[in-house]
Amino acid sequence: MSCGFERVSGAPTPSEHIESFLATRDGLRGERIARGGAEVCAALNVAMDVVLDRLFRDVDSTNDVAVVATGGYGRAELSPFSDVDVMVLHDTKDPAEAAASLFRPLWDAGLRLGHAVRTVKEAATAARETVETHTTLLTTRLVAGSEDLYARFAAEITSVTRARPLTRHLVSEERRKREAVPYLLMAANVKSGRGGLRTLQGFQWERRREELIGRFTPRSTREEETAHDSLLRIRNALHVVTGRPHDVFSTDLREPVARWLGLDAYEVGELLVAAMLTVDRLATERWPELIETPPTAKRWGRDRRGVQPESAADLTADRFVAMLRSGEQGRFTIDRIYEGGHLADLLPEWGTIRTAPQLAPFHEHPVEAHLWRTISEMKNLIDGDSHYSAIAAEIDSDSGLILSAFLHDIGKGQGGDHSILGGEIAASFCVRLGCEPEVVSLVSEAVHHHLLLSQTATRRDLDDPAVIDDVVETVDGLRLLQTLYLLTVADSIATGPTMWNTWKQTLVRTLFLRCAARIGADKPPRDLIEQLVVDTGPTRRRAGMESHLAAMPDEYVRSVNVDDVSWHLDLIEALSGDAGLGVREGEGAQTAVVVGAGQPGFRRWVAESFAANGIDVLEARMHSREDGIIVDIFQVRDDVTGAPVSETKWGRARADLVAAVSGDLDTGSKVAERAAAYSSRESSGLDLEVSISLDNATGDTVITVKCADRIGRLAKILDALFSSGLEIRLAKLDSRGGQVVDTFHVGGGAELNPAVLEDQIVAAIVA
Amino acid sequence: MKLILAFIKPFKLDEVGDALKSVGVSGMSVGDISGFGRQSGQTEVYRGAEYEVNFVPKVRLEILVPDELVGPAVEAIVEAARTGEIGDGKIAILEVGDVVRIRTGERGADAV
Repeated sequence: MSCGFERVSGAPTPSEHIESFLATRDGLRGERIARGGAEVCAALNVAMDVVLDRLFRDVDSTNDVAVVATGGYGRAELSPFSDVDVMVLHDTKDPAEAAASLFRPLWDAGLRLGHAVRTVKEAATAARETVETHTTLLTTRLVAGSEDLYARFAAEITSVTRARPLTRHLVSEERRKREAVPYLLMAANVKSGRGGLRTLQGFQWERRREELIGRFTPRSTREEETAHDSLLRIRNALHVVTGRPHDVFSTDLREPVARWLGLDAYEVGELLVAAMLTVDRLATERWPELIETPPTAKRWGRDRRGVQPESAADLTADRFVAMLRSGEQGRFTIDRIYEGGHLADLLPEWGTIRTAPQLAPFHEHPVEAHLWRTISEMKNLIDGDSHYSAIAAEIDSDSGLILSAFLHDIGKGQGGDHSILGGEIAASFCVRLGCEPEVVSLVSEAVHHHLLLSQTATRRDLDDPAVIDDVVETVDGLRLLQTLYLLTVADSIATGPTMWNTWKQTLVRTLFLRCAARIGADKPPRDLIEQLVVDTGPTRRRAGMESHLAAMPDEYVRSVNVDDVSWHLDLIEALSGDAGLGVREGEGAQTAVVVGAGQPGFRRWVAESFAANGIDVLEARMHSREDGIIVDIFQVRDDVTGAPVSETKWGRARADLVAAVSGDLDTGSKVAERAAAYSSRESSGLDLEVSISLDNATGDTVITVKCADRIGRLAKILDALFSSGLEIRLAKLDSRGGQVVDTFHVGGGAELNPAVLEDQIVAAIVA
Repeated sequence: MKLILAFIKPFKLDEVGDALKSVGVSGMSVGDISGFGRQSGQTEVYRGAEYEVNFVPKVRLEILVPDELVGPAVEAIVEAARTGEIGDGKIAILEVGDVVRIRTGERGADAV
């Protein structure tokens, strides 16, 4: 039994004592007592004890009544505007008058009371009925009145306590708290929020119970007491500066709270974060169920050894990433490793950011919690929404993504630009961890540029192509762009609701999509297309289709469907060392596919065979397989009568091509004969114009030839291009009113000299 | 007194803020908004899939100014926010009945 105060006697009236209490409380606004923590509570407790003691003197039947401090007041943790929890314990038939004598003056003074009026039996019943009442009555003090009554009450509560283990309730409360606040908040509720005083009270209640049932009870540790003191100081400061029972460390109160405590806002933030981290870790050590599978009835007979800390020496890249992915379990383990001093060699910078607060109003969490939430958001992106998960699948480095999320702010508090420093720190850490060089590079670059997309999206003109070019040049590749995109989204969501909303999402996504398009990623990924085609093909053909597509150039894979591929394979399989030609009717044009073994001059022979037989090509797509097989696809114009090219004509062209390939026919001469026969119909002038440019999107050279229509001109131009070492990917041939505009997209020819090429083309056509 | 409402491109915010300060405007409210005007929406393509943006992100500024500052403030916004491209935004000027500074209780132009 403890009263904790010196009873006073003499003249002051109850009102004067209440005034004195209010003066003590209100005086705190002007002057802090000591460091502002337990000393403030002690002063208020003493003042309130004196008030109640004086009020009690006016109560009749004092032998049958006791004034008991309960709850926070019972624990001597009365903060300036806390409710004063008082129970009138009595053994009378009518306690109303005693209660009124005690409570009415306090109500009249505007004090908030948590009051109860009970007999010993009623108090025990109430404690049995709800855990909340039980815990309120676990830590009480007799303030005034019957010691005998209080002793009987204490014995009853001991009896209730023996019968009711508290751990299940406390774990369940803590679990609810963690579900509501999965990551520590900067705007923390220091009383009842995660990492707050209420959790520490749980520790006290458990210890009190063990004491009451006669078990050995270890005292609170120094780190627990330090955390408790910090939280109490901040809570008292919050009450003083707001003049009400406000327990949330909200943005607008950080400066006034700091001033009252004689610190700066960062120091107070750090004090709070360190305290919450300690409380969080101690709770997990005390109640390992919090990070394990939800408890079964059997497991409630718990193993008190808790989760053992790991050694950093065992940490491999895979284990570390697995730890990061495991969320709360990994967080606890890494904190234990840090507390054990094992992380210092691996990631010395962790010590700086672990308790670092973030005071800007848009930051919802301190740095450590923000990093863990970013990891969680990254996991959600990898496994969730198809837009993001498809990008993550393309990146194909979950380790890189998770490590980037964990390390993106590691450079904070190191002095200098945290992105640049962070990139260097991330690289060193990943190397020490034994990551693959590719992952080291990806993570380091991602951390270095983690603000690029966010800052560009909001501060620069996304309609300006130069802005897109700048970003593309900085990221130097689609994979880093994709990684930065996911990191930006995860980081922004994890920062807080003001940093990620539809507005920001639209800007960041627009920037990403435009940069990706500039890199060529507006097209679907090739492997996805191949997979779709193969999956929809006949089962017997799938293996053949797969190997065929894998060996064909990108343009081919992106332009064909399953029927095309099946048809082309039929033609290739029927190929007997020479040439194959297939024709299908289409809307407005026929499609002809020519396959060949890739003999030199093959494409010229094809063009000449078509020209010699009056077959006009509108468009030609030319592809060579890795094994040399040629698969060229032609869109062919209807003949002069408006009818599709007849089978007879195709038969002659096929025969000419086969003869040319086998060396039995000079198709060039045959074209010349035809040209001579039709020369009177052709205009006399050539009006030749050749232009050469670069297609920025594909990197191809684009050659445009404008001239009068001439039989065999296509073969001549092809000859000129092939002899320059160029690879023709696409040819579009447009003929109108005797004039043609032929456009060729060509690759290769690294040493291409446009002027020379132009001369060669002109010479070939004129010849 | 007037309330100037300006809808501008997000990346122009800092420039407009600096320009307003330079003509003597002492404060403004800023909000992130999305909408459409003549600029309408936009479509981007990624991996063959189209992403439509029907409401284009903009920033809305609310600026209380005494009558004599309306002209310079509007001019400052126009100069700083203009790119010459479609979608540069709009400015609206509204009459204000009265203004009260909560801290001091001052009213009218003194409270701006």
